[in-house]
Amino acid sequence: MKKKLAVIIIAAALVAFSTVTAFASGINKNEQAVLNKLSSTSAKLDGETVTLPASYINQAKNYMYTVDLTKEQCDRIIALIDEAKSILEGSGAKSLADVSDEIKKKVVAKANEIAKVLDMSLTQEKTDQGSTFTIKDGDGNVAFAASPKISKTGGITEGSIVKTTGSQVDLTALAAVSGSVAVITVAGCLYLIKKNIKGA
Amino acid sequence: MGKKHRSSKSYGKSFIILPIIFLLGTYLIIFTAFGSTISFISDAAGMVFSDSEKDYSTGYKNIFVPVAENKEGLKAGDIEFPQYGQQFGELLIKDCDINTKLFFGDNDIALRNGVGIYNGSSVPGFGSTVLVGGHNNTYFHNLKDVKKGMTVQIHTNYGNYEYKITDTKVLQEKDSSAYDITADKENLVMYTCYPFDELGLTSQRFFVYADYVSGPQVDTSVEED
Repeated sequence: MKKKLAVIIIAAALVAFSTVTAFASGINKNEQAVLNKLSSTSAKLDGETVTLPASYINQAKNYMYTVDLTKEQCDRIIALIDEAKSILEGSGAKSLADVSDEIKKKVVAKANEIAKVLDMSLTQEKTDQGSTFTIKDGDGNVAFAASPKISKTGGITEGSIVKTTGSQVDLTALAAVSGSVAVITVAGCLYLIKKNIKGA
Repeated sequence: MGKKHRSSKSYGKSFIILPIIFLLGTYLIIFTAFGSTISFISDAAGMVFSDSEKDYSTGYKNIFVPVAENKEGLKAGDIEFPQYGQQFGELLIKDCDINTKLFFGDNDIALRNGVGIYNGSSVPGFGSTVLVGGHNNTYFHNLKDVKKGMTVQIHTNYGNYEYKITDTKVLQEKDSSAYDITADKENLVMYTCYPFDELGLTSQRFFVYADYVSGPQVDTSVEED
């Protein structure tokens, strides 16, 4: 009886402790090392130096406030950043605009490897304005989203900081709705004409 | 002869005048009566006609629980930092009747249900620029009525913040001088599309700037093991 009681008390204590809400800690020193790497990394091409936009580093920092990355994960990410930098610098391009599609694909592949270190996946969606890259976890939660553009003065800028915040109008859909209204209008006209003919 | 004359007049009325009146009337009704919900109509058509991928899900997680009293000495590890797409607060400008949900992230779901913080900027209490966007036909419709000196309140799941509006500007959406997301001083920048009642895409934005007044500053020092 006493043993059973002891087991029940211990089990209850374990349950009580496990239900305490524990948030991920802030930025640990391993994560800070990754942020320092992202901030300080610059790829030197023949004619320009390429660095990451501040908004990308902010996104990484904001994501790290929600997780606790291990030293192993962070060391691997830092190594992959260096590999991506080497690919870019070894391309022989004079500027980011001159970088070949093959090299770009290799750099994106490194970014995908970084996502996999975090058990996430990188997707690329091509639009008329360029590409949008999104890193999501297995539940579809977004950790990073960017639409990088090559700036006129060289380097990368983020193309989608300020969003479209007017009436949500998809031009294709608007054309479809307009077309439908036009069809109804024409149908109405034909009905009226037919009615007038019969009346005459 | 009289009958032919009457038929010509009828054709003119039926084929030209009435269709134009009907077309204009239809658009006027849609715009004035359903202007705030026109996205629903275009979204429905978009599901059938548009090639672009859209997110029509309405679900989002809400982690916002109002804080009765601000806590001193907050550390980053003490709070539940919002994930992208989560509601974690509310934004109020009482002087112009703005009271809306606040999301981290500014995707379609966030902007349909409230206003959203660009996830490449900062959040209240973290000592930098908080960049908030919202639609001009819904939750930021009254942003056009803000004036210098008005107070903006942001209530989050970890603290309550106040900012004082200092300026407004109309700038191009791609104008990167409109905000500084590397600022080391906390400030709030809100924006919406401009002109306010224009239907369709516009390249201008109405920016509202506000200085930090009060609210708990979070200690973001690197955590020791």
